[in-house]
Amino acid sequence: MLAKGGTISAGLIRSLQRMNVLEVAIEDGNSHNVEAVREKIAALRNRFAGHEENPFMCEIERIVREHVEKSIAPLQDAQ
Amino acid sequence: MTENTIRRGDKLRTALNKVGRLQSLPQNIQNVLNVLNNKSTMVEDVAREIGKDMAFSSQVLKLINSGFYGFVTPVKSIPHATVLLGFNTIKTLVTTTSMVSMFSDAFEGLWTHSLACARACSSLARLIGSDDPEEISVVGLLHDMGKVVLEQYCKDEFAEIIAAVKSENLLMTDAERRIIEITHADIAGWVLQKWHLPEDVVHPIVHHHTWNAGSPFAHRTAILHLADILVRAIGCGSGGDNRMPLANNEALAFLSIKQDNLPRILDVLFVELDEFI
Repeated sequence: MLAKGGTISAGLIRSLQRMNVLEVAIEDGNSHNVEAVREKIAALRNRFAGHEENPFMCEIERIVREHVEKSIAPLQDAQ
Repeated sequence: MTENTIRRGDKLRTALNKVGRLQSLPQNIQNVLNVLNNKSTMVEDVAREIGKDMAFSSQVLKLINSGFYGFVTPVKSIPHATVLLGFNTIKTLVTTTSMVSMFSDAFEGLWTHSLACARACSSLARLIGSDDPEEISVVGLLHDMGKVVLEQYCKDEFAEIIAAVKSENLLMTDAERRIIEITHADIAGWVLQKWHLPEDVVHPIVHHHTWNAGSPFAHRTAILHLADILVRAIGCGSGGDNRMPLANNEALAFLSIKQDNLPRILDVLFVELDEFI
């Protein structure tokens, strides 16, 4: 409906009222990224299932998980 | 062995024989290989032979620039590629060009997984100090060729394997052993030998899930084995299943890779493989 940085003008508000729109939810782009990272970590855990007793495999998983988690940290800092 | 398994094995052999007949190397590739096999051949002879067929020439360059070598600037000519990669690698690449088109019909994610594995092989080879990082990347590119052949020429068996992988969360190799009693690695070896790829390419591919120290190409095979595992761990494309194969401790010891080396290795791979994630 609106590009990034756009303004909800009086005209647009009137148009929305004519369409009987009672509320507008603003999507949070960051929450999508957070969700994508969570999915990546869950998939990673699933891939490594059964290797919990192997230190080398556990270390690979730990490093990859931390790398994935790092990509979420700047987003959480910004929120 | 049950009657059903024997029947299935016969069917598979018939299907694979069909691959051998259908996919013989085109004449232009055989001509280039003849030139490359001649000991007095110069760089310009190779370029001239490849350049006789413009479409083929551009296919070779497209493959070189497809991302698996990770060259910073594009390679624009065959003489440049020949000097950069050497005769041995060009020989393998020329043969590989004829196979890459088969990947376009492969299941989603396999081509990305193969490109990433090729890049990981050369990165690992550099980190370990091997002298053939470019040559080994072709091994990574073709390591799952057997899955492509299975999918395209043995459709029923492949569908059964994928169903077992999904319903029981199996590794592809485990499902293959159970259903067809051989693996994609065996099939790749069979096909690549038919296409006259050198033994130092075929052997690592055949044994990338069954490494052994006595193998003549144990070093390359160990690099491919580890590259495949790390690419899966990072999540580049798909090998068809959703499980991690176990790293072979003897292969790791052979490469002198310990747990302590993993942070540095993975830091390099996170950068190198970023475009494939």
